[in-house]
Amino acid sequence: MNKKGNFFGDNALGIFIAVISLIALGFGAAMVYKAITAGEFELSQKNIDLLEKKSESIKSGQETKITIQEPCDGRSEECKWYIRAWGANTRDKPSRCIGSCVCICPKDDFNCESSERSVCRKFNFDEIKISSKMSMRTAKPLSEAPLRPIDPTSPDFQRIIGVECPFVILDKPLIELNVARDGESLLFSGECTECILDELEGKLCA
Amino acid sequence: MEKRGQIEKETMYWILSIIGFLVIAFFLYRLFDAISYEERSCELSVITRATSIDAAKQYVPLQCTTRKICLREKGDCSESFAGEKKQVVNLGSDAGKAREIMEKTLAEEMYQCWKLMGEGKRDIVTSLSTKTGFKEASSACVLCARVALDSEQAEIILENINLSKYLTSHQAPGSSLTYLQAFTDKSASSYARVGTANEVYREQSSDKRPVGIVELEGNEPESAVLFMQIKPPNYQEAFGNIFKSGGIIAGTAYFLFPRSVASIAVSGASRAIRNPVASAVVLGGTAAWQASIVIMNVHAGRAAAAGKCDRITVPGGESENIAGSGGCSTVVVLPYKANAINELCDYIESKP
Repeated sequence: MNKKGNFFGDNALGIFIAVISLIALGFGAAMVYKAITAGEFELSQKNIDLLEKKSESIKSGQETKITIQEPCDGRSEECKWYIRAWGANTRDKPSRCIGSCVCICPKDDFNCESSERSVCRKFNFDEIKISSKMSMRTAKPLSEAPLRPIDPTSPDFQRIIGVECPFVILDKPLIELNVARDGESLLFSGECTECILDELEGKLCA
Repeated sequence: MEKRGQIEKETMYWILSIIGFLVIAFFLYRLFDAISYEERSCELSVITRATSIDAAKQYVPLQCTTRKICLREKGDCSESFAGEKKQVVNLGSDAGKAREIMEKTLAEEMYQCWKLMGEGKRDIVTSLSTKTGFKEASSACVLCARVALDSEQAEIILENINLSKYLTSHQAPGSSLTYLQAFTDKSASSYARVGTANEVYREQSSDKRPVGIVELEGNEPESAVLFMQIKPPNYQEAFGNIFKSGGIIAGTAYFLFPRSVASIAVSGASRAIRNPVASAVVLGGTAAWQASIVIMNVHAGRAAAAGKCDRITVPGGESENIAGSGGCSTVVVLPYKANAINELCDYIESKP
């Protein structure tokens, strides 16, 4: 018993320094982990806050522009995010979306199902739509057209058509969105580039 | 006697620990007290990244948040900052005074941004993969501040604003130098400005040009104060960095696992001696392939840097870095428009 008491007494300084060091180490590790993992998700949350506040601030019949920042900060080459939206009565929306819902989702969770990777928010509107427009070169009549870019010098090249996609891709440092309100309906619209067709194999742009 | 010595030694450790703790506490208190927490954490993250080893640089996030400043006469900048935390500056009804306040605000924000980012002396963008030429150089931006104008006289104020004149005629806070001299060097007397070529040459009255800063004016009610940096390596640096990194990796591996590394080296060498031609072909081919990737990336990075830096600097200046597309660091005031900012920045590292 006495020996035990001596041990703590003799090594008080060492124990004190060890405890302080462990706390500092744990704090530092937690900060590093938070900084690395939270960046893109946190930015997406800020973006959705901005979308919500701006949407609520406009009156019916008005429209405004919102400039949002791409969640990727250049550290990861694989990083790519999308804004998606579903109205209250839309089918095939993520199970966690109740009512009208706007989500910002990474490429690896395009359907916005994961609450750990994607950010979704309920918006107080009956109907929400989102679309982005792009130009697409098509080879054949539209009904047979392959939904992918085609070399304009190719003999198959015929014309350029406009295509609308039900999402906005966040592929530039700053993205400008147009928001229009009509009664309890909200429409977000933006622009996108042709490369999206390659990535999504045209499935969502038909 | 020995026990007494032990007690004295321990007492001394305790005293030293307490003094050390007090010194650190005082330092931290001064550090966080002097400037707001957000600015300090931004500066600390910039220093941390700039002083990190190249391999770790990209994993150190910048903790910089865009400041929102509302210059208002009557409104509250709700068009620009819906629900966002902002600092409000009252302009009053005199358009002349309002213009001066706007010029002062923009100049101060530029200066603060330039200081926070290390005045262009700190390399905060170049990762190991860029330095070795395995990745093309890209421009990183920190959106330091957004300044919105909410006034009925906005048009008159924006038409009359002359930020370049303000920067050359006013002193930077806490300095005997003008803003322009603080941004560049004491000899700078003119201000590079994005605009037409004539405008650029007309404004350039001195041989020494301002290399760190430029202003892009637009008649937009919302401006962005932006720091941009791009630093591509040249061919010599890229290959030098490859050899240096290879040496460090090999040295570390040998230090940690001497036997394994030695046996790999010996077996590799013996195979090469047994099949010299095949080894030479494989090694030479791999080296040539990798070298071509490096050359292409370095070339593309320098071309990108030339495109970004030439937009904001004056031709014929003294900086070999910019003239030779070795990159640049700059603070700019741009209209807060996606197109304008996307032209200059490949990615933004600050938080909105």
